[in-house]
Amino acid sequence: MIEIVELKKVFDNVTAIEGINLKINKGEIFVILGPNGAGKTTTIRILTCIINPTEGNAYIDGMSILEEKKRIRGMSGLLTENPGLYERFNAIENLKFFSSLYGMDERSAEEKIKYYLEKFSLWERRNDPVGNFSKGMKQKLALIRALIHDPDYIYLDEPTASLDPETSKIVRDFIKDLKKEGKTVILSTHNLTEAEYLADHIAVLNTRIVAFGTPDNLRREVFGKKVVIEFTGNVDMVTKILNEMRLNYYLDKNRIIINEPGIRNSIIVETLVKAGVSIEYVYDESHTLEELYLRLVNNDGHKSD
Amino acid sequence: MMDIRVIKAIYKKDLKEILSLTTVKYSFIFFPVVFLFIMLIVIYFTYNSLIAQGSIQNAASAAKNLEIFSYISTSYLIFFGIIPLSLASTISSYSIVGEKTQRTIEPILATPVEDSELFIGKMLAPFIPTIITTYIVLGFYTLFVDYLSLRLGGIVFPNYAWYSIVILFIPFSTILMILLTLVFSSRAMDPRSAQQFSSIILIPLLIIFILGIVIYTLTSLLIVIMSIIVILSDIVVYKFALKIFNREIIVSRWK
Repeated sequence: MIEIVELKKVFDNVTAIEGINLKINKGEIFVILGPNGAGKTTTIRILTCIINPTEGNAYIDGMSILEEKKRIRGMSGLLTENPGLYERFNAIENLKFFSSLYGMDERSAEEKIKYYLEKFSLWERRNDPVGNFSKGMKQKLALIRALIHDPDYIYLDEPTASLDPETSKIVRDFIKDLKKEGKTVILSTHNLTEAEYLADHIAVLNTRIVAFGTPDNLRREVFGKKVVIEFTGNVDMVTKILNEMRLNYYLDKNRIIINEPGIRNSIIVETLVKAGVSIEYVYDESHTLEELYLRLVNNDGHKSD
Repeated sequence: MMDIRVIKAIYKKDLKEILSLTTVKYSFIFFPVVFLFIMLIVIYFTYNSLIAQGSIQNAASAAKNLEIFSYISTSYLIFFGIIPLSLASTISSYSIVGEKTQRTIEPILATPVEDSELFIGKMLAPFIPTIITTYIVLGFYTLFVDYLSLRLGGIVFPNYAWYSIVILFIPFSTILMILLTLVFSSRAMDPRSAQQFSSIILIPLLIIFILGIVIYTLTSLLIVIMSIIVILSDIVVYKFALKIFNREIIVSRWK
């Protein structure tokens, strides 16, 4: 588990993050959303012990990021915003170098390299200089580098950026598989569809935590629960019934939108049907994660740099 | 505690990467060969001028000639300091700037590698090939000088000055050059400006060499004194370089 306590980072009088408190459960996919300059990368750099916080602390499996840097780095894998590969080296040389920095023995490193290069369809190009790779291939190679030492905590900064849709899907499914293997994935992304698909929990960051929770809970918190009933029939009669049921609603032609109904949908439907109203559809009004994100960030009013 | 395997991995990676650069490869071949060629010609002409004076007929004058030849060939040793300075500056500037331009430093910093391991690995990459090349060139010079001095009735090298140069001056001045280049190139944004920084560093060092030529009195004592100055400078610059080699500075400024 990752526990972040009052984390703050200031660079040359510019506050990158302030007072962050979070708990990330082991084995979950945790998505960090936020505008540019919101402190996402800074947070990841602090958690991976690349930089120190100005104030506060974070504990990874109970180990402090201030005291157990080497162990924490050994159990973390990081996909940086830029792939950051040695362009004159081939894929195997790149991966072998990093596996040796993680203290892996040559044999297990070779096995892992082969496994991942095949999984991400790079095996055929293993001896080509990375400089000749496409952006997507580089991104896949950088992802392999983050996983090569079998880390428990995997930090992914924009993992599917510059990947084609097919490869993006492979990567997303792979991230889901990582979760099944018990890995904890911390994902920073601007791709809200991806976040929606993957996230167990979301934190919206804008130098501080603007919102935190599961996607559904956040929607409910921000937009409330709304039920939509589409019908054909007498509008006045429908209005009368809904008023009698003391529901908070509004009508939009032949649609009733009920805020926080408080009673089960089936009871509302049954009452309307008994009164002779013909019900076409009943559904929860859904909001996309994009709507949720924009609402949260715009309402925050906290200026990011 | 430092992990030798990690240092070795960084050193090997850096060396491989650096030597894949055509300009570096050529500077490692072209410059030492030309330098050696010039030194051999100079020493050969020195020898010939002594012979031409016709003063090797009697034992006393032969001994005098050997003394003069020994004095001159020993004085020339200082020029061998130019090779490591020049090569080390070329390589170490690429070593840092390469990480910057390819943005590879952050993934490295995310591994369990210690700052000291990374720093020493980065220092060894330019140090080892530079020292090997310098010693090879110096080896040819030594053999040639001894071949000529045998004709004058004795052997010049190794003498105290030679040992001082090989054991003290060359390695420690190479370290100084690498440290200075690491400090300067960590501020540079591209290989060209790093190279320019290196050239600036070379200027004061070249002035010292030129002064050496003018003064022309290289003794083992002088080399030891110079080496002590260099070693002290190494310590000061090392401490400063380690400060520069701070993770936070690297991540936030090495862009």
